[in-house]
Amino acid sequence: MTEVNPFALAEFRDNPERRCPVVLVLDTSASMKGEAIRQLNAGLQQLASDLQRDPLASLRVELAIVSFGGTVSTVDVRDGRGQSISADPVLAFVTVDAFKPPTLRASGDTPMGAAVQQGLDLLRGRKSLFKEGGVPYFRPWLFLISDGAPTDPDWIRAAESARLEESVNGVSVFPIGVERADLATLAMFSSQRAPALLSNIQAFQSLFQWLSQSLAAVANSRPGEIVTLPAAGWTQIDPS
Amino acid sequence: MTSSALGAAWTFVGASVAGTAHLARGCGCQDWWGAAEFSERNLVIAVADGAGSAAHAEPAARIAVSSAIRAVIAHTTVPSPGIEAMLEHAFREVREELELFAAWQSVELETYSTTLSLVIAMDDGTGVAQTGDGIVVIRTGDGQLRPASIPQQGTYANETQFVTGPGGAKPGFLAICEYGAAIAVLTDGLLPIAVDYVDHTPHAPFFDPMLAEVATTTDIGRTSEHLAEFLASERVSSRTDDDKTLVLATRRA
Repeated sequence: MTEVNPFALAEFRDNPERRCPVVLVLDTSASMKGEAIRQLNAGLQQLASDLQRDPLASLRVELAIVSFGGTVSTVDVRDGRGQSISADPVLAFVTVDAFKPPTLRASGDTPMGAAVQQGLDLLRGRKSLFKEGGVPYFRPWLFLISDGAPTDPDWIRAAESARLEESVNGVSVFPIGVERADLATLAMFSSQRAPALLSNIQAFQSLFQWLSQSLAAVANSRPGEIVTLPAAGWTQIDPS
Repeated sequence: MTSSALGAAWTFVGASVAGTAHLARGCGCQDWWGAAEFSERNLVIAVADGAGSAAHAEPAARIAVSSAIRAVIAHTTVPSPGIEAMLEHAFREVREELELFAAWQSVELETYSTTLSLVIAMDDGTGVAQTGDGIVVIRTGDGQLRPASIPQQGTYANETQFVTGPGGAKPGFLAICEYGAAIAVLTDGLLPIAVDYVDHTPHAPFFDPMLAEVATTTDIGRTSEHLAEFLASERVSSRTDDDKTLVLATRRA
């Protein structure tokens, strides 16, 4: 005979889940053509499936993609088609359960500064929405993944914005360079961590595997915990 | 001190259960609770949530709870020093005790980071002192459930205050409320399912059946097991992966 647990009669309040907004600022310039962009796309799929396996991360982490190749685009991540949408913090982000990353194509030059600026704007706008709606949130993350030097004149100002935002705890920035990337340039985007280098194309996969593990770690963090990325994880993907 | 009891004036039951995220990281439960009747009709409840980022979170929570309760009971004099003075005294004692442990171990005080919610219920009022993001809920004389403390949260959902932090010898929140017919003390792991995020209004359908069970139980051991089972259930862990503590107390007379 099964005894009824009287505490199981408690009904739960339906609060919004705490959110961790993440913008992936991805280089889709012409030099990414071939294996690099193929692995980046595979990595995005892996990221989605890894996060979807973690039920709470799946509800908490929300992702947006800003691509830069020729132009800067906030990319629709709902249906896998990768259409450009307006850089609107309401529309740009989806939770992991709804995240269907597109297949990115490489072309054009490298407007990295404008893309980072757009990513920071999206995160700021997202935080304002949370504040208005009373939704608790974690410190946002911005991943900058690139293989080359910026071609837009404003990249230094964007890098300064990123560092400033980081210094007031508004965002955590993770610069990541692929092989032969100009690491000195990428280093300008974060004052808190050195850029990681991907030594070979295979590393794309491990990058995104690591990314999803780290996101799960933040999503599982408890109040009071200082959110730190595993230092080992960060250096492991740095082959130097 | 940490066992549930059918006391002379109060029935109280509590449980701390490790969160799934803590189990996945290989650390146990870093919450701790304790309660005791004193001076015949009065009740003290202490609940602590050791910081996940702190090396000695688990002992910190235990030390905070035991020294808070000891301080309250030891500080009982005739005439009473007053609830506010008792609460403030207890927080000073907790801070000193944690400083002592950190000094013995030659480690930074921050490695003993913990929150603390402390409740003293007497006939003339219920005092609540708190540092951190737990919450105390009381049923007032009119039968309403009300938040009796405010969870201290930072800009981000994973930030709060600790008794080991700057100014931690004083509680971050202190209030004396009216007579409490029933009291619930929770750690932040239960906030998503028990109170409104914005105004901290207690969710009555959450608390009512549980307080009714505590008020009517004749087998406190069984009730205690039921509470722990409930906190560990899939239904709860699907909504929160943090450690969770719930202490429920109702007046018998």
